[in-house]
Amino acid sequence: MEYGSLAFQALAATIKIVFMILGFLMPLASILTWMERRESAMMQDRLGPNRANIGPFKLWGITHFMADAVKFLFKEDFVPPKAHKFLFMWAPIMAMAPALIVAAIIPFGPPLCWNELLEKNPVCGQPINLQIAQLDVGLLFYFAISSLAVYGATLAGWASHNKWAMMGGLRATSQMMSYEVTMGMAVLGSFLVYGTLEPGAIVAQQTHIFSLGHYHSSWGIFLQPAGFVLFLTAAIAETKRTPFDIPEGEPEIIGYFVEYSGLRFGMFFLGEFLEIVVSSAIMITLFFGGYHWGNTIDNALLSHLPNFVFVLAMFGLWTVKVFAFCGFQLMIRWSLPRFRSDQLMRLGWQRLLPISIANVVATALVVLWAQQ
Amino acid sequence: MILGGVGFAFALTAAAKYLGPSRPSAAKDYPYECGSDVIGSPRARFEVKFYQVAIVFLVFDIETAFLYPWALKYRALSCLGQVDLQTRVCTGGVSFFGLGEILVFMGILIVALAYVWRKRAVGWE
Amino acid sequence: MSAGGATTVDMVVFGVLATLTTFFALFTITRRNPVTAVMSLVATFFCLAGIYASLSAHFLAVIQVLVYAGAIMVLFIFVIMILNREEVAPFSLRPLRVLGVLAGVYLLVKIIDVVTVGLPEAVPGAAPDGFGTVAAIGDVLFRDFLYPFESISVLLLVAIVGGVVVSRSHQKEVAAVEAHDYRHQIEELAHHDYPGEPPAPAAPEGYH
Repeated sequence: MEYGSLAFQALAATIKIVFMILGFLMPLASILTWMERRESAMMQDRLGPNRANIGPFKLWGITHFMADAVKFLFKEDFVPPKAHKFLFMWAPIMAMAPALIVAAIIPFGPPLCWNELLEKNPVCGQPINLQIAQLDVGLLFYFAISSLAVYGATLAGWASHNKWAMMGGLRATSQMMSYEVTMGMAVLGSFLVYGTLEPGAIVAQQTHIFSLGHYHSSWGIFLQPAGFVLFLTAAIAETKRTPFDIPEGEPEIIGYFVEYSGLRFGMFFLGEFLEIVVSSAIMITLFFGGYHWGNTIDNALLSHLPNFVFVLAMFGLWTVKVFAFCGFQLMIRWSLPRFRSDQLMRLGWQRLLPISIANVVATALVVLWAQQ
Repeated sequence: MILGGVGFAFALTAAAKYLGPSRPSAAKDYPYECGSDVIGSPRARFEVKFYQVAIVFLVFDIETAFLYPWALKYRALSCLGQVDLQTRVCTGGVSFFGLGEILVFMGILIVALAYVWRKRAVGWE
Repeated sequence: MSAGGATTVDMVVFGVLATLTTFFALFTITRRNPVTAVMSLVATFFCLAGIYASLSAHFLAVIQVLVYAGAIMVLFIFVIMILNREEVAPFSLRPLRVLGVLAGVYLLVKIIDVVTVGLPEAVPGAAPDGFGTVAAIGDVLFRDFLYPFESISVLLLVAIVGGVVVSRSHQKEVAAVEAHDYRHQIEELAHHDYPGEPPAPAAPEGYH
């Protein structure tokens, strides 16, 4: 099978897809379900779930997520009698699928040099990009698919034929819509600086952690600090995590998935954790250098390690970064009080949106000045 | 490639859907789970504020869609000569054309935001 | 996917997407349930975006999903959910039926025309490099089409103001009805332990 042939590309794409979904996203999202409870427990000075075990191995209870999955699988699949059957089934899929689809554009490592896998510092003649789809419209794809995730909440609320669920669905939908605008505006500054929408190209530009000479090779967080804060807030609001979890605020108010049970409910929550993972990955790509270690370490690794190991090292760092960000988002949950519905909307439209517009204008001015 | 990226999620979620209703044990018909259905009719009160938020969201979404190509082309638009790709420096003069045109565009839409703010269509909910 | 001419892969992709688009569009107009109709319209737009992408108009494809399927359809769903009607059987008035039949006949004639007369001989050429990318659109949009671009912002402003104004008058109506019900329930509480049923709405209830 030749390098450039269609069969090769199809095989490479399939391997990447399978690896990404089954090997990375799903396990990480599932572990996050357990990690959230354990991390919140540790923050609240209690134990949390630590008892599930496989044989003699407890592993601090990591296997809880498997127990949860099995439990969800074997629960009765109950559809409320008056619910709209097709849409009731379709809503959890609409909640989970966008998070998976969006992972297609995330670069998780430097290119693998086919035919030069064991060489150090190769001239990459036949690179395999560690990115499922290298789209020219890159991050716009992310925004487009995220805007489809809104339907998950809306349909869930409506299809349940339960007026509380529907009100929860309307609330959730308006919350997601409000913060989608801010999310789009927040990264406009990054686009101004990097001049491209394609995540692979954006990561490739962030070679230094912080450099004054080539300021545009620094990590994104130093070029766009306001953009990062805005995007972080908007992404947390999009995923309806605390402190923005009024739509699902468990003990206080009925959410839009009140009529869902078993695996369908599990799919909503898994979708939420998948979105956490994916938004962490996007934040790392835009603001924290993706898979780069920093210029000196990168060059050292490149010249001393065979290509295959080099790629593994970068991928390992990327995984650690994603993990750290997910942990950070989980930690925020118990650090901030929950926003009331109107405070939330006010924050989105009257605080974050003007700030993001100001960020765009300021960045434009700085770029103009730096061009001289 | 785009189709490939879209296809895999459906494959997985279809698998999850298939696994979903695999073990129905008891087939009892539970009634509504929201307690007693006493308060008024199921026809919800007309909460028009959601509609207003949706309209405002739509307009600002379109505005952002126009801003994306502007952001990509900003360096070229604000440079009278050519932009050196390596050093990001403009050879030739710097013009305010790129900035100016977008300020007009965004200015009008900031007026829209101010109007909506004032009329409390998005401020309180 | 900007291979020159019409390769087999392109034809297959187009065939699949076109079939799906037509199928979903037909699905949309034959549903009784408005929400199902809206969702199949979303699917139609998704397939349409696929067709745009296969024609190398990547930016347009993404914007189609982002704006049309992601924002406008959500607006449609909001309106349907807010109005909260039960499913209605499709209705048709006599003159509309005649018009519909005429339109269908016209469409059929046109389709037969295209199919029998055949397509033009010239095979479409390859799209130039960078066609349809965001940067290419930016190039044209902000230099040659500057005036239409600025006037779009005015159009959007008009749309926002119009939307808010139109829904605001109804908002006052609903607020009046709610205030009326609330006063009634407070009065009831003066005499009974629980508030009674809200009175039959005296003010018009809005759209029916």
